[in-house]
Amino acid sequence: MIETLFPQYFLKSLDKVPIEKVTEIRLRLNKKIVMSIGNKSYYLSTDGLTGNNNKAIVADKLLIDDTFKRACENSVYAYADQIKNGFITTKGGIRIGLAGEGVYDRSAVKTLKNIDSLSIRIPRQVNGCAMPIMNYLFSTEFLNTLIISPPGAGKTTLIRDILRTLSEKNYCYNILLVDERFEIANCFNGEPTLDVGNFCDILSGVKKEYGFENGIRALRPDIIVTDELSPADYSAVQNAVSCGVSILASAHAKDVEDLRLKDGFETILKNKIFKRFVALSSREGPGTIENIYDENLRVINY
Amino acid sequence: MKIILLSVVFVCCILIGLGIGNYFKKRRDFYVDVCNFCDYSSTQISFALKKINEIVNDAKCNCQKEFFDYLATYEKYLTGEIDAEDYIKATKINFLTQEEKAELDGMFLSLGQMNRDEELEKIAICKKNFGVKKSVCFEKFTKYNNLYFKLFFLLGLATIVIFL
Repeated sequence: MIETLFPQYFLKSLDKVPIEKVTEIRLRLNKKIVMSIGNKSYYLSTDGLTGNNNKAIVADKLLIDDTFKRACENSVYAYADQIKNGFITTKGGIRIGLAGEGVYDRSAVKTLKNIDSLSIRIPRQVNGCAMPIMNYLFSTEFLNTLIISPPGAGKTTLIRDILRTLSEKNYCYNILLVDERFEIANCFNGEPTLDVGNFCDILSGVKKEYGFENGIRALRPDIIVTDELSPADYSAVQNAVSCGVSILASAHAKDVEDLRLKDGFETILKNKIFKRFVALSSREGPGTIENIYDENLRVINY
Repeated sequence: MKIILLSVVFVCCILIGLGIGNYFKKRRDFYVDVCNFCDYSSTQISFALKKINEIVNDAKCNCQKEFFDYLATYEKYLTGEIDAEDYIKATKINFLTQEEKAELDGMFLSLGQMNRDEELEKIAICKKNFGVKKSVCFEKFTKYNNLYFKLFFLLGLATIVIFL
């Protein structure tokens, strides 16, 4: 998986790295290469991972260009839509965030050029991480649930495992997964590379508004699942709920207090669209479940 | 003994004539394959956004040996088995001039690096240039293929007549 991404001359540097534990690799032009395991970051050296930046390997232009080309399978044009949005998803579900120079066509970004930074996130399926909270997400039916956490604290991993667990426990809900940025199911050539259970219909690479509206009409979902909700998505969520569809989503926020203060979320909170809020943090590693709240943002005994 | 020697000379003349004709034939066939590749890749990129490695794999199924070998080496470059320098050295084509080879390598090395519109534009420009070469190769093949064979056939015959 990761081996197909990097050129041969760089793979030798990864011999002493426990690559199966690495969750993120950062290549920045002419800067030291950084790798993350859990919430700890290390420099890459010829002797493996180290905290000593004097021994760190520097990512040169050739490495970044080669890695980018290989990630695009030597066909940049085939990934133009993703590049425009600042990321590409590769074979194996690896998601690469891009930084470079924006090229505008009228007022919209047409593409990125001179890519100078690659943030390579390696998805890890953590089976069982949803088990502690599953019972709290149901009354007679699946409750509208919002997972809140800061970046990198495991929202997407948790959502993925909720989907997998629903399938494992034979909850035969029709689930529509609106995977705008290919992060949850990591579909490649139409096939999910991560386990999201047996009952998911996956719309990848579409805006949430499109996914909600057309998905409800065409696919008759019982639950719609999406990631990184923003206030702009509120009307789509409201519409779905009024059609009798349950929602499982996530939002970036440090905690529920932070969520209350975010622009646009006050309406969602006031209208009690969501019946459950699950707050995550990286306090004891990504995926630490801090608390579960009800629709009034009161802590549920968990 | 004399007859055997003259027969050998005659056969050699025929073979030289055929060889020169074959040179023009190979050039013609090669540029036909290159133009077909440009057409095919243009269509696949335009409508299906097919990836370069798939396009190359498909093209290999329908071409002459010389272009097949060229594409096989290009595939090794795509997978990273060899770098650009080794790819240029490994794809020796003895019936192309250095400039023609450089033009061909230039197109292949730049494939897949641009967005869709730029890619199609680049392929269209290359196809136009290769199209001109293809026409010239067709003309030369028509003109010289039989001519050289007949010339050397006659030379061989003349040699026999003179020395017999």
